[in-house]
Parts: sequence; structure tokens; C-alpha cells
Amino acid sequence: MIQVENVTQVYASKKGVFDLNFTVHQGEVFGYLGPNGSGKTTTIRHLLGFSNVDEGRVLIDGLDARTDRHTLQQRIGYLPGEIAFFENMTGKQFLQFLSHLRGFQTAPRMQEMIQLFQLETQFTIKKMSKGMKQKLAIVAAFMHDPDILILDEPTSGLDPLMQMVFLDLLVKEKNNGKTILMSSHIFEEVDRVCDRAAIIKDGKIIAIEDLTTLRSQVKDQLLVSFSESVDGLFHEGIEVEEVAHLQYKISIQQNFSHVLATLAKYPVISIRSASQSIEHKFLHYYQETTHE
Amino acid sequence: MNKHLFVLNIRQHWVVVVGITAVLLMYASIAAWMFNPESAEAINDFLGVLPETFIKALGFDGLGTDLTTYLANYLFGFIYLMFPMLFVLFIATKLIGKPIDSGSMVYLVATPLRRSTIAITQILFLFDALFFVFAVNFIATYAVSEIRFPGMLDVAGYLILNVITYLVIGLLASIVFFMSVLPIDYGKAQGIAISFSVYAFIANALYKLSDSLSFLQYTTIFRFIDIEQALQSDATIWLTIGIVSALTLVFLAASVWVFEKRPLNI
Repeated sequence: MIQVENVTQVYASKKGVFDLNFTVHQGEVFGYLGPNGSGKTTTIRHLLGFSNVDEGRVLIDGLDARTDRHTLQQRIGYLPGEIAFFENMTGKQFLQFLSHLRGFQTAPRMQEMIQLFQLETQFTIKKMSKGMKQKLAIVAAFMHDPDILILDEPTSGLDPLMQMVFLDLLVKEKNNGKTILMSSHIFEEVDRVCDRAAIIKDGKIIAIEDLTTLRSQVKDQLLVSFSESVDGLFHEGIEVEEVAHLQYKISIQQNFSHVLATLAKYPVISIRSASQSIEHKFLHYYQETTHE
Repeated sequence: MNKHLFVLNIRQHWVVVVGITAVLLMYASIAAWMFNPESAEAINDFLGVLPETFIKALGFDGLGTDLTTYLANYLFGFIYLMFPMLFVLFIATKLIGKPIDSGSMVYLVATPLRRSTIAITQILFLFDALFFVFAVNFIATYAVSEIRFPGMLDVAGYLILNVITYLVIGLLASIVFFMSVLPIDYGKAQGIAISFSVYAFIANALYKLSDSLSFLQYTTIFRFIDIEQALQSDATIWLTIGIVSALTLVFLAASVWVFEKRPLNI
């Protein structure tokens, strides 16, 4: 379990993070969202014990992330947001080097991860594409089978197929009881894998949302066009809003059969989905604070 | 120390280590091979024609007519200071400062390695590489001297001169290394390190030019290399070795402490 308690760090520029409080439970994927420069990476540095807090503390399974970092690093897999390697090595040499630093001859899941991400390890890192470097960083983060995963924008640079592979892996790791914090700009992937998500803006956490609750609040909506006036629709016991001439937005909340049966009585000429997504909910937070 | 990180350093820096060693080897072996007591006198006569200040600034202040003095003055007045200094500037800032600046340090500190282990490994590599440069050159110079002029080299005096030069360059390396671990911008740290080293080198050349500039000798660490004192191997050389070693240890200990405590924005 990761516990962030009252963490504050203020830089000379007066930017930083302020009074952060959140917990990531075992077996949970915790999304960490926020605009550029909002304090995501600064927070992550504290989780890894790289920086000194001005106030507060970070505990990981009861150990202080800063003072017990050597013990904790054995159990943490970290994927940095900005990846920089020792570039005159091949991918294989780099992974072997990290295995040795962690006390392995070869890290236990190295081959499995290489195969999963179809990583070509024989090339010099300097000559690898951005996507290939990202895959190398992912393998490096997962190959020692850590209990705790801290992932800073993990799918950046991956092609859509590899993004799916990665998200499937995250779900499996979560089901295996791993504790996972993932920063991201991509709402779809947060929606897909995260159990909860915090939104940070200007160094302050402005909301922590349960994704299950958030999903239940999202309405399915249909945009329906009719060939003639349908005034009776407003008396059918469904939520209707006229958006244009002969065009209506109908909200559905678990009353699918009733809505479909009702629509069948009217001269429908087209139906399109106009559903909200989780993205709307998150953007709402972003915009709300921007307007302050 | 971590042997895997040590090997990584060898992989990354061997070209510079071998290159500097080879350049010095070329100078040292040719100097030893070409020595001729008669021609040495002729060279001294020739140097006598040139302006004294110019000769002193180049570190050729009386080449001497015996092999040891000749090699000491020819090599340790200029060449054995400049190239090791370049070596230090090239390597010492790249062991900690550069990986922090580029971000690759993250892959070291995100493992169970202690920061102190990382710093000590880098220091050991730096001093071992420097030792390699001096050791290879000492052995080669000794070998060439024995082949060409058996028994003429004052081995003990020449060895002590090599040792004190190694230690002073080591002190410079420890200062540059310390600058590179400070929590300041890497480019700024490099600039300070280069300025400090170049100043020390120039001040060492200038203080010999006239009495009015002699005060500069107290502002440069290269003043610890006193060729005459080293070759005579009198008791004061041990005091010099003690002071230089103590200063080096202070800077290295400070480097490890700063690196252990500093925040890493990587």
C-alpha cells in the first residue's frame, strides 16, 4: 500500500506540490491525472524517494519512501516519463545490466516480457525508435516481478496494438495483487484499467474519483431524428431533450427496453450514439479549476 | 563498490582512457628514447637563446643533463599536467553529473543500489583509470630507459615524482567530481570545473615568469608538484603527499555525502 500523507514541496519558483494526501491499495490501479506541469512527476519522485519533502511523508507498506528507499527499490518497478538510457548498449545488455544491479543473473520475467512486447533487444539503444525504447523501459520496469508499479505515462509512444497489450498486462498484474500507480493523459486507458483516479492541478489534488461510481454516473444517450413531429414523445416517461428540428437527445439509464419500445412507435429515420464518456467528467475538473 | 557499474564505466570511457594513455606514452617513450646527454646539453644551449619567461611558461625550466632530470622537466612541467587535466575534465564530470542531467541516473537509483555505493564506484573508476594512465606510462618510461640507458634512471626519484603528480591530478579530479555532484545545473558545474582547472594550469605557468607574479603559486594546486623536491625525495615530500591526500579525501567524502542527500529531479 502506498500512503501519501500531507506531502508538500515548494520550489524556488513557488511551484511544487501542496498538501497531497492519497492512498493506493494493494490490488488496485490508481490513476494520477493532471495537465502538464501540474505536479505528477514531482509526486512520483517522492514515491521513489528521489526528492526531499518539505512537509509530510510517503509510506510504502509502512516504510518511509525516502529513508528506506534501498529496501523498497527491490520491490518497486518504475517506468519514467522521460526515458534516458545508457545509449551505447544494446537492449539486451541494458536489461542484463539492470538484472545484475538487482542481484539476478537474469531477471525472472525478462524473457516473458521481451516476448510479450516483441522487443528486439539486439539493437543498440541509440538506434531504437521511440516506441522500441518505450517497450524496453516497460520490460525494465516489469522484469523483476515487483509488487509495486509506478508508471509515468506508460503508453506514450506505443502503437495501438502494444497499448492494448500493455493495458491487458496491467489488469493481470492488478488481479495478481500488485499495487499500481499510473500517471496518464489518456482518459480511455484510465477508464479501462483504473479503479480510482486522482486529479492534480497546480500542485493540488482537486478530486479523487472512484471510477466505478463515475462510470455509473455517465449517461448513455441517443441522438434520434424523426421524419415528422413527435410531440407525444415527451409524455412517454423517458428523458428527452430537443436539440434541433425533429432531432432529440434521449438519455438512457438502465431502461433500454422501454426506450426502444417507445421509439418503435414513432417514425425514426436515424439513431446515433451521443453518449458521454469519462473524459467529460475529468475535463469538467480541469476546466473548473482553470476558470478559477 | 558495484562491479557491474564499474564494468559499465569501462565500456563507456575506455576510448578516452586508452587515448590519453597512448598520447602520454608516445611523448614519454620518445623522450626517453631520444635522450642523449650531449644533445641534452645542446638543447639546453638552444633553450638558453630563447626568452627565459617563454621557456619557463612552457615548463621547460632547465631540462637537465641527466636522464631523470631531463625526463622530469620535459614531461612533468607541461605535458603530464595538461593531458591528465583534460582527462579529468572529460571523465570526472560524466560519472555522476552527466547521467543526472541526461536522466539515465534514474536507472541506477531506481535499483536497490545505495547512492553511496554508486558514488564510491564512480570514484574508484576515476582513480583507477587515472592510476592506469600513470602506471602504464611509468612502466613504459622505465622500460625504455633501461633498454637505452641501463641504470641511468633514478627509479625511486622518478617514481615519487609520478606518485605526487598522480595525487595532485587526483586532487583536481576530486574537486571536479565534487562540483559535478552539487545540486546545480550540469552545464554550470562543467563551466566552473573547466574555469577552475584552466586557471590552476595558467597560474602554475605564470608564477614562474617573474617575482611580481610569484604570489600566484599559492592559488594553484599544481604548485604541489615540485619536481626538484620530488627527485630529491627529502622528508618534505611526505608532508606534501599527506596534505594532497587529505584534501582529496575531504572532497571525495563531501561528494559522497552531497550525492546521498541531494534531491534528484530525474
